[in-house]
Amino acid sequence: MSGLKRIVAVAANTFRETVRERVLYNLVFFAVLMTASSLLLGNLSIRQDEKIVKDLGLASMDIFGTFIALFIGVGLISKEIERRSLYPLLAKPLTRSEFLLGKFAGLCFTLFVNIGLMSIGLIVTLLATHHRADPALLKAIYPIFLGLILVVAVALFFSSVASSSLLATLWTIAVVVAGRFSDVIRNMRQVSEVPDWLVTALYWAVPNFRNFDVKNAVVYGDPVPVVALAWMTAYAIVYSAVLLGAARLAFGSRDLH
Amino acid sequence: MTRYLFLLLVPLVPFVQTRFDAVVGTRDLAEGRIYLRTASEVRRFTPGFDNLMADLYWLRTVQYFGEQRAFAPDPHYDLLRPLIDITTGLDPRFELAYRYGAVFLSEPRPAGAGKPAEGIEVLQAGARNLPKSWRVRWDLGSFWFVFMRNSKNAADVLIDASRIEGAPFWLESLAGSFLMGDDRKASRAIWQRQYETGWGAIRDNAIHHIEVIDALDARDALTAAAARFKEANGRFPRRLSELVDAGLVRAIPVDPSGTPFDYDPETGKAAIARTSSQWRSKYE
Repeated sequence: MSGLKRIVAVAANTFRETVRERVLYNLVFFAVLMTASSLLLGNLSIRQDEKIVKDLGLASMDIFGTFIALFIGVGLISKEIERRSLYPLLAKPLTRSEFLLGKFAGLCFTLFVNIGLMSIGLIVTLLATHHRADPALLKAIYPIFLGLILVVAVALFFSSVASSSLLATLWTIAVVVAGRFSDVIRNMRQVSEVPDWLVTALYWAVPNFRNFDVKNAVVYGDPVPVVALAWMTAYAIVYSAVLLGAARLAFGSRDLH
Repeated sequence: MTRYLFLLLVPLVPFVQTRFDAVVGTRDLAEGRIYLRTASEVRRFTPGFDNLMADLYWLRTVQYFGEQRAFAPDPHYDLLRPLIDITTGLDPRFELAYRYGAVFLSEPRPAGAGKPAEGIEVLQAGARNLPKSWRVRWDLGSFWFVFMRNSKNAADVLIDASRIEGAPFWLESLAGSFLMGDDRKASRAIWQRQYETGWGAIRDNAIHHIEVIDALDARDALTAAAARFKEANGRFPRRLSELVDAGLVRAIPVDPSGTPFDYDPETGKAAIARTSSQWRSKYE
């Protein structure tokens, strides 16, 4: 069996494993419920139902997708270690890198399916309110998915480094929240005595989740240039690759005995 | 049997609630709280979800307004302006929040907050943030006219709005109508421009308004001539023909529809006849 096949096998197994997680169904249920609730909220908003359906639908994908990526992502490695289910796997002809990549790909695919389900929920809600299923929404959904991939990479990294899944969860939450405040980090030099180099270093070091936020622009029908989407994709790939590389290093040198 | 003992607790629920209400008091609808008072404070807690939060704050604004209007014994609408400002601060392109927010603020009490100056401030913010929205400017112009009785500002805003791409032609007409009471010269210039550039019904409408202005000008000229007659003779003329006899007018004018003006010898005031197509109650 080639390396790629082994990665695909782990990914498929991870997908099967994650779709059995009860937390996943709860989160997807709440995401769809939140989107559907816009049917009621739109009526209360005075002729703003389309905007509210889109805002709520996209925000639901972002919020609940992040929860899924985070809570399932941190358990990918640390739970395997805690349950000792990792040992028989590594006894097989499977490298730690292949295991890590397979886990990453498996959860990314789970998120892809979930984002697809949530998108269907959003489209059905739009149609139910007699609005068009605007294909431009994909320009907001795709960056949300990229952001979720990055959350999985962060979660996987801390899952490989931390000694417990609780610690991995806390660190991942801290980094994801910090990444959503990246604009604050960038503007820190205006309000404090922090040296510019430190602010810049911090701004580059923390994963910038604001890069993937084009929800407002898409809801208002603003153009989202293809080049911007391309750079977003490049950022997600490069940053995720760095995190996976670091996770591989940490996981590879970890004493599992 | 013991498994049904919990049913004995059921009557305790209303009892405890009644005691609680007696101690704490029922919630006063007039008492509202907002803990985050500006959009930037809200934004700090919800990075990346500005539009969602704007929607939620807008829903709260609508609910707050409805609650005050429908249920509060003495509605004060104190939180209305901060809620509108937070909503539009979070989503500066939320057009309807400016428009309906201004209505909520401007309508006289008890239907609204009775603060038209604040309503206009909200619409002015909307006009700044939405440079391509003629609708916000349309509202702003109408509010200046209806609530503040300022036809000059109203017309300025409407003419500004009429220059926005996609704006309907009638915004300029509306500006012309608003000015007819206070600044007939400016109004005539607007209608003249519509006459020169318009066609069909637009042009007919412009002709009609120019004729109304002509009639109003002629009416005022007759009233002024009657006043001059009084200065010379110590009394108002009994009939308009006396103005011709006195050389104050060349002939007794009729309005552009051919209808003679009414005249009141007691007050010396001429008026467009009610039977005339140029008669408008608001200009009498």
